[in-house]
Amino acid sequence: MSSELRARSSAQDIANSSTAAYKQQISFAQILEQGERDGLPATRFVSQFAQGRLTHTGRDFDLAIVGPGLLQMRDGETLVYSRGGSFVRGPDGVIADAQGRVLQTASGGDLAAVGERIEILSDGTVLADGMPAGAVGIFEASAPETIEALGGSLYRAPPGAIVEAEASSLRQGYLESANVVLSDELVAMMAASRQAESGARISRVYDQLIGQAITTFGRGTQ
Amino acid sequence: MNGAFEVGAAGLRAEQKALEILANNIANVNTAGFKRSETQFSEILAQRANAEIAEPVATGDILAAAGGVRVTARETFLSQGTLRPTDNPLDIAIDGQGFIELMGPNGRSLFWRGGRLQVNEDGLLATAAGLPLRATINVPMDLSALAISADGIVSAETTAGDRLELGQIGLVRVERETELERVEGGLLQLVDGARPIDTVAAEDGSGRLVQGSIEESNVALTEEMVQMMIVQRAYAANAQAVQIADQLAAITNNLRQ
Repeated sequence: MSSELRARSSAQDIANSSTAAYKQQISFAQILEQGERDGLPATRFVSQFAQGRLTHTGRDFDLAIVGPGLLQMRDGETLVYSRGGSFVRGPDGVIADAQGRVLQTASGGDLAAVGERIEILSDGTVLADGMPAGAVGIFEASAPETIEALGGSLYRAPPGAIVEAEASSLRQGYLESANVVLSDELVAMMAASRQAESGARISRVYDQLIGQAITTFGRGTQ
Repeated sequence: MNGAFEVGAAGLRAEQKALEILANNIANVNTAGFKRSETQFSEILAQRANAEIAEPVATGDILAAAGGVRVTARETFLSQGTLRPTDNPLDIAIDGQGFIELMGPNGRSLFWRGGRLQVNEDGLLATAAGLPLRATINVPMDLSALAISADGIVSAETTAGDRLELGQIGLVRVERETELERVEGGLLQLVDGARPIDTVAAEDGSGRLVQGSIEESNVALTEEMVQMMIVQRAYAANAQAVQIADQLAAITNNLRQ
């Protein structure tokens, strides 16, 4: 079971090796404290937030983050987080992604920038034709393990777990590549496959032993 | 059933779709006014809680179940292609982000990035396919030269030597690229609910008109080729994932002998 989970997580990483800002899943074995199953390792997967390579796109509204930070976006009434991405400027200069999630400012609220030439500095400051027009909010989770992946490179954080980022900076005109190393994933899949083989062998030997025990003791009582 | 199978298969499908988008770009490298599409990948999560571990997760459910990947095409309608001079006075291109509006069939508005002009049977300035410009410019029969200025003013000189001003071609703009969709013949139309912004060429930031030039496609072959190689590698890796998933299934099957 654990081999299958590992293989699936690796498959997910491989499938998303071209997805912008995708974060590799890492597994760790966890001992369950559940009575009879005590001691059996279960495998859990969490997103591994290591930095992905930045790719230059030259587009004004492509944003990537260097460091552990997240951008805040308003999806209808809820707030979601992402590691950056391709945004477009809509009516009234509101900056949103293709699905209409609106980028939020550092102090909260929708970000809007009107002007011919929009420049976004590494600290998030937005300059429209050279004049300050607000700041993109860069946030960090106070407890990274509470961040929950929503798919599509989006994350959700519980209320109160988000603070202003300190060690992160923004890059305009770049996108973050997935932090997946294909060769590592393929090796991990092969390892999972071999592990399953030895698991199967152990089961078979165990089965044989029980079989032997039954026949031996069975003979003994005759 | 083990999930690596489906995830790997979803990966194969996505890479194949990406290859189709790239192939379309490459096929249109010499199409005047063609705008390339970009491939965009996005991860899918089948379900957030990992149901396969029957475990009550306390706070902060951070298990992400693998679901695969999907690919979408992101159109790049607003990125400029190189202008190539043709010395044909009936060729017109736009240096900027605007579009020339055309009168399509049934009064539908169509957007055009320029190309070769002609005078259609009604005596109107039209595209090579015969669609008249929204600006309705009547061209007299006895014409010796036609000039289109950067701000769209069309003037003509008759064989008698008179200079006439025939009208002005305006440009339209959209607020965002996602408001446009492709239709036949390299033309674009607005999606439902979107509104165009009328502007004057060489003012209002929509660009200027360039007579005697054609806009080449904005496809850069090297970039597409490099992308294609990356897609090919990713495809192979996904195929490997499916193969290993198959091996795992075989091991499980062989447990019972």
